[in-house]
Amino acid sequence: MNFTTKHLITFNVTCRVLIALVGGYLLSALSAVLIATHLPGDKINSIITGLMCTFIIYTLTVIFVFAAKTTLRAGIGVLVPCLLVYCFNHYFNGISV
Amino acid sequence: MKPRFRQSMGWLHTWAGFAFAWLLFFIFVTGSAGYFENEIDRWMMPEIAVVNKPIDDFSVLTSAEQQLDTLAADATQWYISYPTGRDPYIGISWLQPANAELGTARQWHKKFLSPDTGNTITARKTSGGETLYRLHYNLHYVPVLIGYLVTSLATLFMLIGLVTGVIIHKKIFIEFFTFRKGKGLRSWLDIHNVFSVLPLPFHLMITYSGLILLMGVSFFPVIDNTYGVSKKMHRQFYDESQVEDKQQQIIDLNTTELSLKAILTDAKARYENQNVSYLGLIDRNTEQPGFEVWFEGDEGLEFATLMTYRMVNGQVQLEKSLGKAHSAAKVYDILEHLHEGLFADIYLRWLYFISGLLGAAMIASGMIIWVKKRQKQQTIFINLIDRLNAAVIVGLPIAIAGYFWSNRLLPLAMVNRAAWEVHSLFIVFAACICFCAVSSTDKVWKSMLWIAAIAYALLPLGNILTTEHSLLASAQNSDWLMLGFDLIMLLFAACFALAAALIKNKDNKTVQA
Repeated sequence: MNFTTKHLITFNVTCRVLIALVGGYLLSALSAVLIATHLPGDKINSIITGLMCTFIIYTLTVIFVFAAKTTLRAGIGVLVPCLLVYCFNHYFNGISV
Repeated sequence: MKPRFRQSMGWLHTWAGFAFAWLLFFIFVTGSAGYFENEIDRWMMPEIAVVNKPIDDFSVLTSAEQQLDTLAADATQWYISYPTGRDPYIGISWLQPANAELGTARQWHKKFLSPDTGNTITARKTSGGETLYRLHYNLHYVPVLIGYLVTSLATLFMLIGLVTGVIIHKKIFIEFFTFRKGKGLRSWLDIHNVFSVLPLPFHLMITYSGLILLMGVSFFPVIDNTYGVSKKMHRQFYDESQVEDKQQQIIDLNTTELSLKAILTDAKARYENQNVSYLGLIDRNTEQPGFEVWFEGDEGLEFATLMTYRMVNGQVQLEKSLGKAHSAAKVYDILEHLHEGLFADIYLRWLYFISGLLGAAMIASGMIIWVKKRQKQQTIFINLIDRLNAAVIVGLPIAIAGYFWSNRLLPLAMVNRAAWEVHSLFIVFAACICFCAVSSTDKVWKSMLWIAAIAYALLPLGNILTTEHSLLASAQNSDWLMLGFDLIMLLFAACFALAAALIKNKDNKTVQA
């Protein structure tokens, strides 16, 4: 392992950790908002349900990020669902997260 | 990360576990101690008199009311606690409102009563079991919000570690029955599997419910965006989700003015086989004070129920709680009760405690494996991690023993005594880290284990020397909590001594091999 590959690995790992933690948080928070606003019935119920789902989504996202073949794929795989959920929340409820 | 899915998950398991291992170990150990909060309280307040013979509930009420009348005339809430299995003593507590003239804040006070004379007993100032278990989510020295966020993040890593741990095991059932003795790393992996797989349902439950308990803090933007921004809106969200369904009925109680005595008589007639655990008088300073009765046996998994009596339009109204109104809040409640285990009887409580310690042991063995896999590299960093492992894995139990010791050794009249007990815990912890940093790598584990064994073995002796509670006296006095605590300390000492002895054999074997 030469000097540059070692640094490349460090860079890749740092990127994935950031995508997993920050992206995972964003995706789970956005999904929770989605659930909280669209689940039929009582508002308090929907918010609590949304919040209770966050950690499952977070964990699955982290697993996905570290299982993806390349760092780029991991990034796109988190960014695209984030954007989709964000747009959905934004245009259907007028919520600006 | 790696070419194959399982390899990637192996990598994630290793590093997610490594990142917060010491903090998670701390959380598991102090949290497990919390399952015996009341029992630790009893040991740390040796002055309390245990009720070891049948008592008359009404005479207790009379003397408790006398004391409350003199001590807490202007308090807004009164509570009288009756002896129960976990708290075999009589107590009174009251909520003193803030006093602008004296400059005192709104505060709860608690005193114990002597079952013989009815007079108050002044127990020593102590942080008790409550502060010890609160360490596992507030981290004590940091602002409470930071404590919540850091522990939540660590718990998320725990959840990731658990899920990836399940993924990387091909034969999870068979591996549970496999133990290869004296094989170095292989043996440690087998131990790690046993600690993880047997209590896996507990680990998953405690981790997930722990995250859920703080979800309102860790995911507060979700509440912001769906309910409303600002502290006031958050408060309103919590209040609204806490709303309970209530069953109300007007009862025929031959009285125009309610009293604790009248409601105790009525409650006893309604539930003949139940033991009263608390009597409460709330909203004392209002037109419509509430009289509460709590029962010992009623604290089920779903909710702890109580009955509240109030005068409404000249009639007596009896109110019973039926649990949270919102169904998701009910699920939250069940997760919270599962996490706290307050409903558990003595056997289930022990199972909770042991499962918690197995969780701590799982983390500890994981850290040991991490070092063993890299020991051949002999770098300063690996060496440092090995020493710090000893400092945390054995040092934390020593620090908790230091907490108990400080309760017996600090002067009774000391200013901020209770706070200094907690400081003692962290001073001992810091001393352990220093000790591990300077002692030789080969001997560090062994010396630490022997120190732990001695610290725990001498605790019952310290108890005899500083109080009148010897093992024999506790047994004669039917003071089972005091006796049990002392015996468990001896059991811990024996475990540490055994580990210290075994580690010696193991090192010899490695040398021979």
